[in-house]
Amino acid sequence: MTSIDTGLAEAPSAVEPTRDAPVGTSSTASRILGVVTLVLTAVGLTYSLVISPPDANQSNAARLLYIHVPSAIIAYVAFGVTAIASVMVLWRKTEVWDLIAGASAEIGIVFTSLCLITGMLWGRPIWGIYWTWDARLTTTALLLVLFVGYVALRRALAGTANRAKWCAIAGIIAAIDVPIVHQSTNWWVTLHQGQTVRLLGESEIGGTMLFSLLLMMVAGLCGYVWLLLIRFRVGYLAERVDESAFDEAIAQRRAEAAAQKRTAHRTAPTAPVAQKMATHTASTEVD
Amino acid sequence: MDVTSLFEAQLAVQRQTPSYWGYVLTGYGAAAVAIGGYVVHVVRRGRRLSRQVPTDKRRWL
Repeated sequence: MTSIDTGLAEAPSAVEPTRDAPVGTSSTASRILGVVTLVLTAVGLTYSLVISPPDANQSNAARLLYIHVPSAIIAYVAFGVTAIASVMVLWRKTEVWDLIAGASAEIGIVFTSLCLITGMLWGRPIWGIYWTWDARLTTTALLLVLFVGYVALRRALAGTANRAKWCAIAGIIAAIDVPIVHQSTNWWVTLHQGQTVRLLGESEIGGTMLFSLLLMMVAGLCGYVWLLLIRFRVGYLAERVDESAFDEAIAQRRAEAAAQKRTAHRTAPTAPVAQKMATHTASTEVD
Repeated sequence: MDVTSLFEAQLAVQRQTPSYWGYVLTGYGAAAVAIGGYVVHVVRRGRRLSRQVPTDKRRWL
């Protein structure tokens, strides 16, 4: 098995481990980002649920789209990051990219599930059904299944380098579904509507509704970056704990082997003596 | 049609249109539970693991 580089330069241990050391995965940057996310989410929720007017055709059900669309966008970004990180794992073979790929995939699963749930809740009053095997819905469900499989594979495979390699391949294959999901409304005749908000060209919604949607998207993306930071650190800590457990097991096995060797050394000189005594007893019996 | 009848007609349409608040609040509640639950799980796991790792290996502090 080939070894995998941690990708992080060994930092000098400036701080000795103490009992008073802060516990957790937060840093100044993550705390600031967390506060920004909370503020943006609070403002976004106020706009989505209170300030934004109900839609002329969909009434208040349109408010579900302020969660549904950002969830879908964040899921695309998360799986895209997993794919890029997976390519980097195969190219650079570093632990950092492997941990980023795993962390981003897990967050992507949360947001894809949320996208499906809010989509179903929107579909019931507007389409009259919770679920239909429409191209967009089916490819999105497939995306969820693929990445659940990816995370299961990460947990099943043993060995850091082995896991990194096979999961990188699986991550790239699973991410192929992302452009398929996005293009599904153009490639097939679907019940699901096409693109409503366009970066280039005129969007189909505007005013307060568009502002609420964009605000929730920005809040969601900030939340994704914050979650990625924290989840990456959790993965990094888990690797260090596994390493120390492995080192302890090796040290214990070496101590056991050394103890066995010492016992063998002590018992070895007595063997000829015992043999001599046995011969002596036998000869006296003959006499 | 005068302004008063127009207003009354609009009110009547509004009364007939379902509000769908039940679906909306269920969706927002599901989002809060899913994201909040995941955040709590990740932060708690991070705290538990960081107790087992020396401070000098937690480079982000």
